[in-house]
Amino acid sequence: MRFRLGDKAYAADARLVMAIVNRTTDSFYDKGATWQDDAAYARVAQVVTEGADLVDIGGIKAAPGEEVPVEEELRRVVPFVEGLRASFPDLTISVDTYRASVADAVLTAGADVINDAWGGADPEMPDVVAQHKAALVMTHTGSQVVRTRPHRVEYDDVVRSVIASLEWQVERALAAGVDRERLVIDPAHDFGKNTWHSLECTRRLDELVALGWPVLVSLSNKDFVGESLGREVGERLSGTLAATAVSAWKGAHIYRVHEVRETRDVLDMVSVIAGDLPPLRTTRGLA
Amino acid sequence: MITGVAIVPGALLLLPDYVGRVDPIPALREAAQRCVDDAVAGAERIVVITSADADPRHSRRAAGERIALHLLGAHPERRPAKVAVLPHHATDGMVAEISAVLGSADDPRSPRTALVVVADGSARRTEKAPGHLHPRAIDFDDALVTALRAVDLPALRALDASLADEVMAAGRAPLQVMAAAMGDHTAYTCAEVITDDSLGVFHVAARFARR
Repeated sequence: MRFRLGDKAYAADARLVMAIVNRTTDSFYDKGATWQDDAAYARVAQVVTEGADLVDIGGIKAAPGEEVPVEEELRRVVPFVEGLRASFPDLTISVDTYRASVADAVLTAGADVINDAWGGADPEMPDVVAQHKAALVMTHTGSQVVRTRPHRVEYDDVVRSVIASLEWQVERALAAGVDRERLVIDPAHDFGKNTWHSLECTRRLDELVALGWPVLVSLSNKDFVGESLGREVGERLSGTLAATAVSAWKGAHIYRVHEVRETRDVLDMVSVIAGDLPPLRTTRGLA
Repeated sequence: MITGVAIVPGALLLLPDYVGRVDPIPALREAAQRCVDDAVAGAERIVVITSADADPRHSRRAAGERIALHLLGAHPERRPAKVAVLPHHATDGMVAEISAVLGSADDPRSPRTALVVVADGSARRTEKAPGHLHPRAIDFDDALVTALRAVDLPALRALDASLADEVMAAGRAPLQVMAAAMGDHTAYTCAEVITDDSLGVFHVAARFARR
């Protein structure tokens, strides 16, 4: 299995860090830390230094909240993508949006990947991504309405639901003409899922990996980590990193995260243990 | 007739399998390779002299032999005619016996011969060194490097076996055999000596050339 993001190609043993850069005032973790342009550019420079392979720009918080019209989302992300493309010509840029019109604009502005975090809610999304020869991240939300929280959701088998939804989205994307090497699947922890569901998706992640598409996991500081450990937002790094290590061992390829340096270390450590990457510098007992 | 001699470290790090993404000893590796390449250039026969591992827990060839073979590479012309693996704690008698076998190497009628000798100084130079700090380690190494620079073969033949063991100097016996094989020290010049103790072991890459 090989996949492509932007102008870069990756093998099946790749473990990539996708750094979250929110252009929002109200996202649950950073709470507007990169709302201002200067802070957002500084964040990108920092995560690149820390080892991020790509950035994921978001103009709308995932959870319910302030309504963000298309025009406002465009205003938040398009100039930023243009600026990033100019400032970081080699950086792979993803944009987190569920709107095809926004995807069209950011891909025109230089983005490489659309992270369609709401499960293909906009049926025109695959066509737009195909027209731009871009990459598409497809997610499972269990048909959850965009920007809503799950409420009394149950599945016969959450992983089977994830696989069925993602396989359907893959078929749709391929039919629209999206390059098969530019398709990424994401079980979407916490989206349309309670903590038990997200834990099962983590435990059985290898079933998604076995589908043969690159798997993205978005675990960072999420509620399933918090509920598992009894930790509030801001106290979930250890749990996030443990889930990251397990996901890496089970074969996930892309990790959407807030803390880049720590994630890079965890992924590199897993790669080293797996034998996919040599250790950095060995001298113990070898001089 | 010996036409060139390379002395290279016995560090496992010289074997590619043990190197991570960053090489901790790039200069030493380059120097060791250069010493071997220069020493064997034009040789008709190559002899490797090394010692057995101090504490072997495997069934592979001795580390020194694998290091020498790696540095010599896969080219058939650089395949050693003889590999002498001395016991790690070789006695004077053993050294003399093996020296006698190799003794004809400096005979002018013998083929042009290159020696590749795997040897190190002490492994007890600092508190972080493999053998922890030994107060006489640095003196041992200083004497060794002085002898190498001067091609002082009598001094190399007279290396103190007991002290060498104490400071964990792995190459004492190979150096003694080498010195015995080289015969007349006035026939050689020291072309290069590179040392590195950054990892707590006194590593040496050196080359002697025929005058």
